Amino acid sequence: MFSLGALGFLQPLFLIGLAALPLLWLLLRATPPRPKRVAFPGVRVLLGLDDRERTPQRTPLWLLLLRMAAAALLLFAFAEPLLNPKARTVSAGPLLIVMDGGWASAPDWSARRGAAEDALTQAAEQGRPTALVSLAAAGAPLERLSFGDADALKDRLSALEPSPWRPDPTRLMKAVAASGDAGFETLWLHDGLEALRPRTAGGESPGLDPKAQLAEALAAKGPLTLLGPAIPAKALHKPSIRGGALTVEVVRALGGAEETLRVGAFGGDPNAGPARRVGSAEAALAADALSAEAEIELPVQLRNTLERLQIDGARHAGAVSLLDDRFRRRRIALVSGEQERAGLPLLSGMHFLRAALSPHAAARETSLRAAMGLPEDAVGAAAFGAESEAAAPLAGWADAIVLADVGRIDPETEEALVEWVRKGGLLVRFAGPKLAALAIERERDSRRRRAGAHAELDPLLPVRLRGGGRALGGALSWTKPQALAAFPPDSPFAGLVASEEVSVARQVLAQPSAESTESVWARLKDGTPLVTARDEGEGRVVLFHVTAHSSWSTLPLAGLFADMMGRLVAEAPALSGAFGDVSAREPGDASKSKEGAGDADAANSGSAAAEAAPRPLDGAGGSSSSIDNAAAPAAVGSAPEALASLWRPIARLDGYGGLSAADSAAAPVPGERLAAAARLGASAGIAPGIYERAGGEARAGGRAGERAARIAVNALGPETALAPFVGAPAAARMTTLSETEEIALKPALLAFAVTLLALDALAALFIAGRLRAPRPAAASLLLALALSLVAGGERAAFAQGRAEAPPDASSNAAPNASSDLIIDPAERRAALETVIGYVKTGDARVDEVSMAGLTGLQRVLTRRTALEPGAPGGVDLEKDELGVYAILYWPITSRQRDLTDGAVRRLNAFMRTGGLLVVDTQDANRTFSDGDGPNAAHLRRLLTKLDLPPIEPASRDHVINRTFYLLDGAPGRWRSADVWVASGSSARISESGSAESDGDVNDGVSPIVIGSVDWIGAWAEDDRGRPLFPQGRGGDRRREQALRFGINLAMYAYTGNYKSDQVHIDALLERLDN
Amino acid sequence: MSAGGARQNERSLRGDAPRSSAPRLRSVAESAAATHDSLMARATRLAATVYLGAHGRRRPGVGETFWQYRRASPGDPLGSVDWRRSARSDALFVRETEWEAAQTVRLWCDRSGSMQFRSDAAPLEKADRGAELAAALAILLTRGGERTALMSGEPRAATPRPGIGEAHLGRLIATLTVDEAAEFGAPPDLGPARGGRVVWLSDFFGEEAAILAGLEAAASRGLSGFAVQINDPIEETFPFDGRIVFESVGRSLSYETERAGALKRDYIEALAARRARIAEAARRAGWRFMTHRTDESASPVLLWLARGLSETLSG
Repeated sequence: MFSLGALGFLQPLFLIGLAALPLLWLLLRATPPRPKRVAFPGVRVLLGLDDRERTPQRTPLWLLLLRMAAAALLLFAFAEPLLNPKARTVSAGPLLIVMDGGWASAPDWSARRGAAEDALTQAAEQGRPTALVSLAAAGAPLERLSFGDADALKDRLSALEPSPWRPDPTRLMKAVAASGDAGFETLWLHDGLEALRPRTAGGESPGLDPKAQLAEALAAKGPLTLLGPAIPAKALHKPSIRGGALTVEVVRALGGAEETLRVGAFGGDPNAGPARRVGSAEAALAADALSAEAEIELPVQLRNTLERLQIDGARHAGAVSLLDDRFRRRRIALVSGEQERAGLPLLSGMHFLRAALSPHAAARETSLRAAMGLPEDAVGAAAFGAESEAAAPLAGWADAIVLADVGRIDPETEEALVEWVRKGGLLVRFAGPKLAALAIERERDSRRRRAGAHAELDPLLPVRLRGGGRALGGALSWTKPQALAAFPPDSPFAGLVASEEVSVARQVLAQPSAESTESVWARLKDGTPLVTARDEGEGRVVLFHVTAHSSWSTLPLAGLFADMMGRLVAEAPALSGAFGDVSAREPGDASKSKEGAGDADAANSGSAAAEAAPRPLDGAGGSSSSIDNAAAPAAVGSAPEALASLWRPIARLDGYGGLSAADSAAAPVPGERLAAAARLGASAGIAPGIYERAGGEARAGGRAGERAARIAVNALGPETALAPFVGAPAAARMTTLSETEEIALKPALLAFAVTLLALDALAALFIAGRLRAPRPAAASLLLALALSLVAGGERAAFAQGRAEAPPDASSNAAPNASSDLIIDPAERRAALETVIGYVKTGDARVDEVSMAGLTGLQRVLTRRTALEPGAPGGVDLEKDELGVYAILYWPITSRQRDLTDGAVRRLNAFMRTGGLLVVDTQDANRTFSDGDGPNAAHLRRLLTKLDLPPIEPASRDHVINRTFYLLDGAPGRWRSADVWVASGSSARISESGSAESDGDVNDGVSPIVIGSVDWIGAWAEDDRGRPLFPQGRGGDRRREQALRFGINLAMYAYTGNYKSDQVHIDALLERLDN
Repeated sequence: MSAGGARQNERSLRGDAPRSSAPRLRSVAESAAATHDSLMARATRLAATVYLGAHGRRRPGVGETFWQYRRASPGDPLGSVDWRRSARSDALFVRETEWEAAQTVRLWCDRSGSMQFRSDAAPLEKADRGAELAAALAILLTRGGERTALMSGEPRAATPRPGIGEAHLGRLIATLTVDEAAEFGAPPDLGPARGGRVVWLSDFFGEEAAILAGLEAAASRGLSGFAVQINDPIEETFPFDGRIVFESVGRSLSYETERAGALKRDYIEALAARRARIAEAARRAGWRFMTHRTDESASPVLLWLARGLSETLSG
């Protein structure tokens, strides 16, 4: 195949024919179109004339071009051009189709699958043995290649989905090597990225890219076609919180044009359904830049709920960065027990704490009571004023509370605080004069009570404090201020460099005790604990044995202090976050968990830990003020216990970047593998997702109720990078995978050429004068023919192109066609104009009267009111749509059949949605009150199925008697009798003026009116407007009354209780008089 | 319609389609008769536009109509003296009648192929216009008591006998509706005719030599006459352009040009020259020549012919 850009030619030899076009040009020029022949009697006169233009007239240029175009098109058509040609395999031997199948393949997966399917189809046609290998499939490396029937592989192919990790070319190496001398052709659908490979400490990747190695090996076996994307997938990298904003890098493997991508942040209340998009930021990739940062600023509360970041429009796992608890900005309450010294901020611990915490958390100074959500006492209120006001609704809002030199706490607050800690709060205390005084006081108390006995352990302190601290390096002391020792490995500060500059001159001391429940997170060089911590309930109490300001030590002045605060903040449980019920109980509590490290884990931790020992944290001590992602492996990796434990996925990404809850039966992952994955990105078997430490049930002796930490594993780990795949062997054919479908242009070109030829024929006729005016029909016929050829050709082209595509369009078309509403003309009319309906009883006589009666009412309505209904319509309750009518008049006859369920449902819906059902038993004045008339009994039977409200006789001041005319009764052909309406609709008007309708759906408008006096008979008139029935006593006056009631009924149906204020008219008029 | 004309018509029709069935023959005959009728009507209408006033030779001669009384001169036969007139005076008067010797007018209406042509610009064929003129002229002449004869353009046609009267007129007009097969009309053989007048109605697109020879022959026999060249408008305006093959109606002649538009001036000049030559020959033969375009009204030509004829006949 020969290709020009996106155009390929299957028969390029035809293109040589284009060289003959100039010849054709001359030929066409020399043969002008046939002349026009004209009958002309005066020829004889012409015969003697000397024609000065003897040279033959040339073919007109436009005609020449037309013919040339047609010829060129024909040649092009026969060269069988293909737009976006697909890769075609070249040889006839066995065919190996290799698919990378990682997340980087997900964006154009359908194109990949299509290309592979095409190759399979071709192979099947040629009967070539074929094998299909996905490099990202989980499982052991392949031992050997097994070539088989290509058709059989199609099912496998269609079931293949991109994996959320990177492909591993080494999977195939062995099999290729084992294939011996047997040659085969390979089609490799790669993702354009270098394979994931370990890097040395310097960040250099040793050796060859495994992909390149595999490509070499494959090229040695036979022709190798590499089918890759034009632009490899872009990914999100290294989310971190920096300076209060969430920062994420967008990386790409190949530098290219300038590009701006938008990164969306998804989160929100986890109880309010799936994560919503709550924010976004742009990352502007400069030309040729490989990465750009997006900084997403979000309110802390919102940021704490974030679930993931995702590049907009990118559908693959690499474009998603899952965020775990570490990315929640903690909210920390700062409570000071120090004396306020106005104007001397550097002597206040608050100042240092604020400065150290602000990069990591939202720190807020408040009172302890406010932090606990307790009502403020007078002093606190005075001190914090508006602050506490604002804090009050956020009771328990803090993830951590820092107490700077708070000594005695009032019992109520203390109790609340202890409870808060036991629920999982992190309490960080700094020593100071007050705490020291408290220690002395406590010691004295306990001595007084029982000599020798230890003071009771304060639940809010990790250790018992000795009365009186120690002072080092004072004027009268020989000792020197002590420096920090290296942090113990099980400390959350592990990895931070214990700065030499820090010196401690004064501290409070812990009482040594037999049972050491506390853990020491930092020591001085002489071994004295400087920072101690103790689990209290589910929470933790941490004590800095020095002040938060610089009078006892230089710690608050050191950069280390900020880093320590950062680590502490990371320790803080996300009490208020999306995973609120699960606090990130970091694995620092080694003392507890070590004993719990089960035998089960010991086995698989042993060897694995040796080979994939996570790097100890490096550089974190140097990093000034950010929780970078290094904290993630640190969370797992710093604690041996966590490494040994099992982690269970709770949510996982698929290759397309969709997050779904993980199967609860998903196999847990050993900690050290997870640590590796967290650093390097997801790998086969460890899908990106959120992992939770398998709870107590997994570990014998695990603390009941311990909440597991959560670690997010992303497709692209912080220690890996995206690099383009460059090591393709020279022999390989590189082709770009195109998303677009292959389109054979031949039919379209042929059709176009034929059209041109048809036009040429027309033009020749025209020039020769054969195309006369009376022949437009023929011309248009030709033109139509040509057009239909074109259309047909294009259809053929599309059909060819879409042959493999699922027939969406056609399958969609059918239901659309059938779903075209066929609206009954009567219903259409009823919907478009105002139509009063009557129920067809099936008794022709009754229906006729109904029609006549409603027609009479309609005429009167039109004449007297603004309501101008159209001709009334009959309704079959069983079949017709009732919703288009507002009033249904239902004469009850004994011959009416029972309602079917469908009709009942319809009637119920009609009444529920605002329709007015007017039932007329025509029993004269025997309704329900004075013993049933014959039809009323029947009505009872009919109505039992209906969902009717309780009914009652309409009172005299019911709205129905007030909507248009003020009526006293509702006579029909018979004497006025009770009209029954839904009870509660009787517009008992309260003083507030609104109809008291308790929970009625229709604003207290009765959905049903039942009468018995044959109104419709009174309304009925013939064509000429003469009454159809004789009126009983009362004559025309009563007929008029009946009509007025009919008008009121219609008004009631159309205006509802709008006229209910008419009931007040007396009162209103009275008021006007005054 | 006169019976004779119909007979002749039918005869020719029978000749054309000898094996036609009777109904077909009848329908053809009826349509032919309709043509004849319409020609008759048109010709009558046309003739009515020309009122010649007192016709006659306007000189004394052998006739029935009183012409004048004149004093008897010596040598007048006694019997010619009108005694009643002479009795009113002393002198003798002779009653003279107008000379009413009937002249023969020979009409040639060219109905050859080239005359059977009509362009879009013209209301009717040249031949039709010619027939119309010929018929109208025949009507006028018959009314004037002259003898008319319709000469056929067919090469070996029998020499027509001049005739007079309505029946003859009918036959003549019927003959006028019969088309000729020849492609170009040539002046007819005059036969033994001497004296009288000749009227030629043709486009004169035949061989120019034949036309000039015809004029000469007529002149040599002392026949003077009138030649009317009837042309279609496009034959004068030549509204053509582009690559065209011009063909005569019978396709015997053709002329191909690449750019007809460039020929227009030459053609018009050539046509004018041809006309001038024919007109010159006519003048020398004592004929009068006129041109007529079919998109123009026929009355002026008819008037011109009638005036000319009455002048020369009575002059």
